[in-house]
Amino acid sequence: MKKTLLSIISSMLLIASAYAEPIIINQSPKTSVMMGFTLAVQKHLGVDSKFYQSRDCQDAARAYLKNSDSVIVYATDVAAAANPKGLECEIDFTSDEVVLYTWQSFEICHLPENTTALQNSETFGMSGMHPHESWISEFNDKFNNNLRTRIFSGSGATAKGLIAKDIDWGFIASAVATPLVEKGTLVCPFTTDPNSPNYFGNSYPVSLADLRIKVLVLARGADVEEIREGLKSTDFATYLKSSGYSHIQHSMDDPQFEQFMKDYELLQKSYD
Amino acid sequence: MLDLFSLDLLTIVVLFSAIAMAVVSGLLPGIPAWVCPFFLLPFVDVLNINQIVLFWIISVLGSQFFGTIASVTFGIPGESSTLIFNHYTKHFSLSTKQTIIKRCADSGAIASLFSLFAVLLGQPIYALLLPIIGKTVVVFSILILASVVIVIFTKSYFINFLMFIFGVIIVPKSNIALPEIFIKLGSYTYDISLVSFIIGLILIPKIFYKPEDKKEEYNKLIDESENTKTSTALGTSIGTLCGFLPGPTATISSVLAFKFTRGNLFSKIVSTSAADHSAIPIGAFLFLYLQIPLAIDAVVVNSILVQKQFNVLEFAKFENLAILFILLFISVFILWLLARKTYRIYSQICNLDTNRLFIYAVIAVMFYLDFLLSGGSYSMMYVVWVSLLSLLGIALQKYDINPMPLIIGFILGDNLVWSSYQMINY
Repeated sequence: MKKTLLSIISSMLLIASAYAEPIIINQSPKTSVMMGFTLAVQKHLGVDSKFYQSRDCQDAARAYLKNSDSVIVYATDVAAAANPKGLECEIDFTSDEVVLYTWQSFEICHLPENTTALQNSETFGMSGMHPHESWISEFNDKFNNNLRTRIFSGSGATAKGLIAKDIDWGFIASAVATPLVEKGTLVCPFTTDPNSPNYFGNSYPVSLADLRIKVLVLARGADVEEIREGLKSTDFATYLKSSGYSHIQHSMDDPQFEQFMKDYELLQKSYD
Repeated sequence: MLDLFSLDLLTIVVLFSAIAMAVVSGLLPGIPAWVCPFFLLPFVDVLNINQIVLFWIISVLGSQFFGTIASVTFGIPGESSTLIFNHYTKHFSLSTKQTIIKRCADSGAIASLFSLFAVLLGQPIYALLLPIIGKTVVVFSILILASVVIVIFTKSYFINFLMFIFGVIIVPKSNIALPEIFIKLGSYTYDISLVSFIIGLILIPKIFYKPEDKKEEYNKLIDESENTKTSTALGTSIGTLCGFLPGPTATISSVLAFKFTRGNLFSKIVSTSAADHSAIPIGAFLFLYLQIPLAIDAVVVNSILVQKQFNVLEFAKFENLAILFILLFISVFILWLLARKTYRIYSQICNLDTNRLFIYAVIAVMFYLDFLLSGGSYSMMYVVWVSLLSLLGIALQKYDINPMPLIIGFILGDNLVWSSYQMINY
């Protein structure tokens, strides 16, 4: 009798979980730019889902692993930055879980009237979240300069710092920099996009020349393939392009996955 | 020109929806104005950039008008400026409350129109001012000045200082670049929101504690016949200048205007309202002119515009802005009329302030809104924090201590801590 009851209950739970909507987890604060990204992903998932606003990236990682049907917008630079602060935000995932891999580059910019080359400049602005200390220390070692970093809360604030002449050069996300370049407010001679002829690493070969905002959408559960297909929509691709994400892929083969992990390790080490 | 911003039926619907949104978000106590653009999300597919920008600015600006009414009638702060004078208005007589609502509507409308004129002059003003007041040092100095003003707000410096620091410490910090101690602390305080702060500190104590009647004492501080033109001008100037700064400019300008306005309490309240109303549109246009979303509501709107692949740069052209200004002028006029002429209705609502059932209903609505804003989840820590804040709120009510430094510390805390950290690393 007990066994029958148990099997009925477990069957019911199984059926319930099979029909449960996956949760989509926002790893970033609800007022950040990534909130919009997560909502756009949810809109294009191809399946109904419940939105989950995590407390912090550690809570997001736990929620993703705890739920059998879950989707997370996983910004790897957030996870790497949080690690030394005692938060366990890293997710141990496989290449099968990747339903989207996208990135946007940073532009390295100055005001049009500033003609001083980067190696001869005094101040450089960067988001405090990125590994500014190791970046600047390596740059100064290699190019014999006393460039000092000034940290900002994000790319928008860094752009404002440039306009206010608080800094000579700044590291600004492509989505923020592009309209300012079009308007003539800023000039951005270098980019961290390794495929660009203006790649920063060509002029200044430092180990973190290829610093990009890498975002993965990871999915677990029964609907992974449906979700992957949903995110292939042209509408979503247009959204990504207009948000500054120039690279889009919906799966990762083993060599790509290994390379991704190597790059992540390098990024993570730069915070130590 | 009309192709770019055609005055079709949908635009007019958007205009009146934004006014309705302003009324609702302003009257619902403790709901921040940046929530307004979130209501655009379900309609993103049918709206164009002009309609989105129109809804955003009208709803955020309009919520300031009605936040004043919520504060004066219910005694619960509805927006930044009301936090400053909320502690006093609860003791005023009904006729004084009515006069305050009318005068604040007048000063708010003048301040809004003045700041709209200021931004209509366009980018040259931004271009001239930003290199000066956009500097990290200047932003930090103004935040520190505002903090000092809050601490010396009343004679209880020490208590104010402790409350302000407590507010700064417990506000969850959003930037992961901050030192580890702030990140660790955040894991205990993440569940506290501004709404839960208002519920705990102000609403729940209303059930348990009825403040003693000090109408006579407080009405002496008010001179309704006083000319408030100077205080409106001063508040507008402070708000206009502070509007160019990134961050919680409405709060900062309100604090500064209250402290630096001479005259009686009436003038100070009018000046505070003017400062708040003028800072809001300037901050909004900082995004339209510079394409840099810095305020929370601008970040939300930017996310929506990016999803729609709208180009803000294309929008911020004189012909578009000119029509936007005309619509905003009309909206300010409607908001002013609504806020000023319907005060009799609010006078009736004032009487509900003492009705417990009404307070229970407001608390229930607030809890539900906080639930929605937190992404649909509550935790045990949330219950613990609301309980602790309620106990603190009852104690503050009992000893007639203004909780304003604590709430402002909570609002400014994230910016203040980040700005201090930035200055240390400067």
